[in-house]
Amino acid sequence: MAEQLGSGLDIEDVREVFDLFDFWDGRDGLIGAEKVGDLLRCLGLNPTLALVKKMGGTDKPGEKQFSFEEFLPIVKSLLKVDDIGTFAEFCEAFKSFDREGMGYITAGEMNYMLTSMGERLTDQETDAIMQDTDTSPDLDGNLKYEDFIKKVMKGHEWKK
Amino acid sequence: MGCSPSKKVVRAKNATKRLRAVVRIQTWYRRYRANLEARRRCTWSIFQSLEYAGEQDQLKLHNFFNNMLDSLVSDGNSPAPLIRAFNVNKRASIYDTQSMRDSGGEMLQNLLEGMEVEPSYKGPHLTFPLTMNQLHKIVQSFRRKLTLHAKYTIQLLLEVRRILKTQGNIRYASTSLSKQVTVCGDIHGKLSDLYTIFHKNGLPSVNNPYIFNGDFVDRGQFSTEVVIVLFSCFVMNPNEVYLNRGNHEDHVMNLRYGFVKELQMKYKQHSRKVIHMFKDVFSWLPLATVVDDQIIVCHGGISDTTNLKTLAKIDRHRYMSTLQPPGECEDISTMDTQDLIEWKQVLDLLWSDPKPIDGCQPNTFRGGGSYFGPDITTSFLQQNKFKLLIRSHECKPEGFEYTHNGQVLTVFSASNYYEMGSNLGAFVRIQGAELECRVVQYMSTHSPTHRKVSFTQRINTVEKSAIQDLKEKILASKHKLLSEFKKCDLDNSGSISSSDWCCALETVLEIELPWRTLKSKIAKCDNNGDVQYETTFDELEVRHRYSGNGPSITETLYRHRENLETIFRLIDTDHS
Repeated sequence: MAEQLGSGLDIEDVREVFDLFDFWDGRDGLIGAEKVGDLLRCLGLNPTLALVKKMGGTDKPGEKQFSFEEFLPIVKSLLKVDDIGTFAEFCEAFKSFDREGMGYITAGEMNYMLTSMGERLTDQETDAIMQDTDTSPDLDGNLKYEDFIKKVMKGHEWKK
Repeated sequence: MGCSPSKKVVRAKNATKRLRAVVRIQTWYRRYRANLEARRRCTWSIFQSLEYAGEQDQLKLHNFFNNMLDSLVSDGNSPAPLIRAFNVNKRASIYDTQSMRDSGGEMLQNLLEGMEVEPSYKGPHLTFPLTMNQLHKIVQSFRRKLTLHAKYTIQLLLEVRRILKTQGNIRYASTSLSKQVTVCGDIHGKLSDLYTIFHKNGLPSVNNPYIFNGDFVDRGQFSTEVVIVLFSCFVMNPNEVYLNRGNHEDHVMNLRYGFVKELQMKYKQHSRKVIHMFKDVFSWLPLATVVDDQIIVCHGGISDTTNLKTLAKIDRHRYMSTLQPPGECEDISTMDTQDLIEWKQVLDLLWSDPKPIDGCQPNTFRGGGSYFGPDITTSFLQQNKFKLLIRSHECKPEGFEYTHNGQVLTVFSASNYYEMGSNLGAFVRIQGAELECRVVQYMSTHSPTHRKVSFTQRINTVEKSAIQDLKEKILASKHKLLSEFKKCDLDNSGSISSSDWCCALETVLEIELPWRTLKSKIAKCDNNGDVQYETTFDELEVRHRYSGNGPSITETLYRHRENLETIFRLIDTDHS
């Protein structure tokens, strides 16, 4: 039985994802540090950009490379702190915009929130979110954010 | 009053909560996107692996012929006509080569003897020299699904051949007059993409030169039309249209990948002659084009031994197929050293792929050519005083890709190559004194309903298609796979470990893929990750049902179907 790391992940899973990225990268056993974030995300983890940086990830290719042995401890330490959040926690983002408390915000406010606060997304990315979660404003330009969050939490899960 | 500071605290707390929540959503999105991208790349790997695994067989095909011939001779009785067919074929190519050199195409001219255009023919009647007006008529007739008559096709090909013979192995293009040149990559019979390019970028002319970097035919449904349009443009502007040979401008590849089949279908009783002409003309296509002595354009790539001086001197016409040794040689082991060196030069130029690792290795994925690293590119460009290598040969999701620190540009012009929505097509405009490269992308769509598909839906569709193709390949080797699986299933539980399952697949199918990641898409797994291997064969049924213990004839036939089709077609072209 492969070594269990936590959250249903075992060392073989990490090996698999590492090999997957290495497969496209020339199969030399090394992966650029700019891919660390994506590697972790494909394992089902949810590191923020800040956390990825702290763990040794870089922005640009060519600066640093990780071997599997160097990557594994990063996974292990992240497993201890990882959490995607609860339904209520997601809702917190929207509550302050929801002046009437009816469960709606405008599409514009949603866009503003995601592109100007926190770890900003681009307009293109917010458009893609809308399209992929099949979310569109009603005739008044409002979105029911609970539905949106439900879809986010259900997510298009990759594996498991 | 006492409330004021605590109100501030509450507000601050809320702001933090909100910020954290926003970051959560953004983080979720990034994870979602990463997973999508991983799926897309996986799907891509499947398509590419299946594609190249097929091409790799071609190199083995030559040896297969020799082996088959041996076994038939020892068999004795009826296969005699078969042997004769092979011998006729071999003799024919030797005969052709000599006659080409001797009588400069007069032998080919005889192909037109007795060919009449029947009154029921509705297409254009060509006269030479070709004019733009006639090209329009050709395009119009293609729109009406008509085929250009064999007589005019052959006449066009004869004219192309005449001009190509005057051109060197490496052509030199200059932007001094036009101030720009456009480079297109693989088209593979996608006529709509060719039209899209001309629509966006104009038809070739003195002020609008083009370099078409090979692979005009095979795979797509309209290879004939694509190559006729390209050749028509070429004869009208032989100094502004540069046609580089691709690995698919090759008789053996055409036998397998659809061009010969298409010609047989479209030209019917005249197809043998037309096929023969194409076989010849393709061998006359130049191997590379250099722009302003600074940018080299060739179909595949280079290797650590690529030498332009050597390439310039060879007799490129000897390579009817780059997969077969040149000219009259029948056995690779008896080949002359010089011939071997030359053959490698040609193979490398048309079959190689750039890789991110330094060094040069044989391209085992494709079965020919090399993998060349950034260091090889750097030294080659330096040696020849070039600044860029433009090549094609590999499909890219965006239609183009820069690699080797911007020293190599891959351009691929067939959009939706693997599946509707799989990739964009692109062409490159090289402009100005600085030879700046500007890429233009497009996706040709046939139906308006395809436009409003989301990224995710596209990935889902393409992924499903790839898995389907992969499953077909798996089913064709069911018997072998089952026996491998059973070997690992020591307690007869019906399940084996992931690693055993992956190992079995890679061993039997001989394709390198991220099997662990694909596992859940192909078979059912237990809770502990083991694979219920029988489910590997679910959900897809080959047309014929088979029973019995060994691999049935059907299964074996299916597995080698493509190989067999190729062989029969080869025999047929000389026998009918």
